[in-house]
Amino acid sequence: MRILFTTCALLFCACHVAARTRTVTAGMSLQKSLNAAAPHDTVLLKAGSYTEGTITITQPVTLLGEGWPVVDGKGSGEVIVVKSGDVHISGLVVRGTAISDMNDNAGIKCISATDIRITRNKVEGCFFGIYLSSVARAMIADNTVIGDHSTPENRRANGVHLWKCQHVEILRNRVSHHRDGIYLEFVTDSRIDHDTTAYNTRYGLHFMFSHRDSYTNNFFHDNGAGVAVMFTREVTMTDNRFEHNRGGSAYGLLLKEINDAHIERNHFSDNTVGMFVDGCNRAQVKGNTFSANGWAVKLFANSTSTVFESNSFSGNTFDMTTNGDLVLSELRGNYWDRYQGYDLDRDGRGDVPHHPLSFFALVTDRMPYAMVLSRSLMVNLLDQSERIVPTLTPAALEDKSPLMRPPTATASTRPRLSLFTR
Amino acid sequence: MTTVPRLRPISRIAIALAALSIGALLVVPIWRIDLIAPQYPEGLYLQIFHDRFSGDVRNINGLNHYIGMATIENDMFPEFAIMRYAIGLLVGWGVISALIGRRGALFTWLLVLGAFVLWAMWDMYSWGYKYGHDLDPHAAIKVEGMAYQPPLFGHKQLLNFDAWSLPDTGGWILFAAITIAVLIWLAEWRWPRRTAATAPREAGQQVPPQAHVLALIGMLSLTSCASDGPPVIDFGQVECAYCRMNVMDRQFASAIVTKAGRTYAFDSPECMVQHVAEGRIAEDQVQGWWVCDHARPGEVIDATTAYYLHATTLRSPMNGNVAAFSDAETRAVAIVTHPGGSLDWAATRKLLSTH
Repeated sequence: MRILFTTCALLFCACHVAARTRTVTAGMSLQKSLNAAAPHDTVLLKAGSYTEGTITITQPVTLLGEGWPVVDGKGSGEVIVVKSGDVHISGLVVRGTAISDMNDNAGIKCISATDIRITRNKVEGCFFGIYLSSVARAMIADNTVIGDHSTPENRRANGVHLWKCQHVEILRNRVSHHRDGIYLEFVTDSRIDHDTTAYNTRYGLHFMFSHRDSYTNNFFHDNGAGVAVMFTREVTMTDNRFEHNRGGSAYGLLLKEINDAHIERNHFSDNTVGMFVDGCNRAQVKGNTFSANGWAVKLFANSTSTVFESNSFSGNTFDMTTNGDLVLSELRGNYWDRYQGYDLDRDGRGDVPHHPLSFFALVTDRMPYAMVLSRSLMVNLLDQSERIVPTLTPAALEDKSPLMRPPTATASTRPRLSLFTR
Repeated sequence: MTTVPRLRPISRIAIALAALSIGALLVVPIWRIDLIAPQYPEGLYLQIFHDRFSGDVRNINGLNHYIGMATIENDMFPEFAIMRYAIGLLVGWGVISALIGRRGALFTWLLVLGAFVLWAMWDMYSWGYKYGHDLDPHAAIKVEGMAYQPPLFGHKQLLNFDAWSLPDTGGWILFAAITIAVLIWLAEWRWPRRTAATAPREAGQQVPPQAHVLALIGMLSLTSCASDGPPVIDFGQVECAYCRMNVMDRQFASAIVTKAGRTYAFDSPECMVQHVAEGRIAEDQVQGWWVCDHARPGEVIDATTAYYLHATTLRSPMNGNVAAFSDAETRAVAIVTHPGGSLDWAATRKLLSTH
């Protein structure tokens, strides 16, 4: 038994000793060094420029950059392609993919692998930035992925792109000027924390058919839309900031055909539409702050059993609007700065229900052109009379116990505010 | 005969608002006559309110004196005394028909409005005729065979005067109110309410008639011309009518053009097919089906004659994984990199409608 143990220990040491470090300096071939490396070696890339076209990694290796070496694909296709498990890439500047409609060219692409770590890289001006396809157990952390400013907006691809992956952690990255900042399709059991996405043409973060994921403490600003969660189950969304996503189809958060979501303590501010809820079942929307949005929440009537609780609505042009008479969602105990009721029993809850859906919001939903009448006397009068005697707005959409003061818990967590320059 | 349902609340509100807006005729000028001549660089104008004239009445009277026209005085017009009641009637009738909320009531209001306008025009014409023809024989300036009848509507040259006769604020309000009433009546008649009133409206589906009315108004001012060519897909700007995703993929984007000339863009063939399969656009409303040629991204081709390839490696935006090609040869090339099945349009629709 003892012998066995010793042998094992020795073997382990031998392996450990065998994992050498190969240093590559400017002028040497990175590809040749990678080919020559033994499994689990470290390839240390010194500062300089390495322009060898596409670099392919076919065995477990740690590729470390020192002093930001530049790996340039010279626009010939991909830059770094990983076809092996157990690969760690860190400290590189990656640039020079080709833009193509046919191929998903990426700065760093991993195909059918496990245990991948991509940390602390700068991926600049690539078509796709970091691309994982059929990867399990990966970490993408502390990277900066910035697309090409000069590429036309409709010729950009996604910054971080995941396809059929599981157990991926995407942490503390900054992604801008891509199509979608972070795109997940068929990605399960993953988490996206402390990332910042900005100035992406389509979505800051985009879920498609991706279940049991979570994203927390992220900051989404100035994207086509902040986050889109589509055709997805059991996504947890907490403590994120959605800011300044403005335009015709711009949403802070777009929910389309999703089930069982938890949306808590997020901050929606200065968006055309804070939250767009279309075909969403059993979502728990709690403790979020909606301020200074055009529409804080557009809640479509095809959503069922969605609960809005302890949220704070203030300074929005419209707090809520819907598109049908049938309301199968519930509002309770939210704070509404428009609430004009009273609290005689001093329990912190208004004594009369609040109807957040203004008549005018309903009209503009059906006739966007009517917006020109906003803030006119006639509309105010109609709104007031509708509030007293609701005849057209769905009576079921009411908060029976509105809060008299905004809940304090919402402002406790504020993710860092690292803004990109445009 | 089946019972006609009540008008939609939104229509009734619009009718009431239109009716109430006619009340503005009590305070704003209804008609306006402009006289432009070199000797009056500022021009002369005459505004007709519901109960009086205003503007350069005195100047015009002085001018008319030379050519023997009668002096214009408010007392000359018994209409001024009854106009307020007529306006009251129009407003009241409109509000009542909004309250009744039936198409028939709206129709009676339209009749009353029409009668009022016809009467007013006839009244103005007959006054103008009398005013312009019945000249004082002892006038200082006499032009043989000349009559000074002002135009009823539009422009007319009178001696060295350019005379313009056009509706003023009130006239436009009246015109707008009538237009709205007519359009609502048409909309309620043409697009009867669906019985499934509780079905939620989806994007691009079941557009309320009011939107049609407004679109119609928009089309009146901006004449659009529809062509049979492929529609333009505004990549990056337009939202998929089915899944709401921004349409950006130039290999899979699709579009439907309806018989009404509207284009619905989709980010993939599966969205387009499902949109119709779910009845969001009625099958018989579809004028044209369009898809992007996978081999020539961004190029829009006729979907019904395209060649299709279904392969899991294609990765279309919504996982339908069907790509379209304009000819069989390019499909044969693509099938090498994306092994899969070849389909025609009918098979593609069948496959994707249950996707």
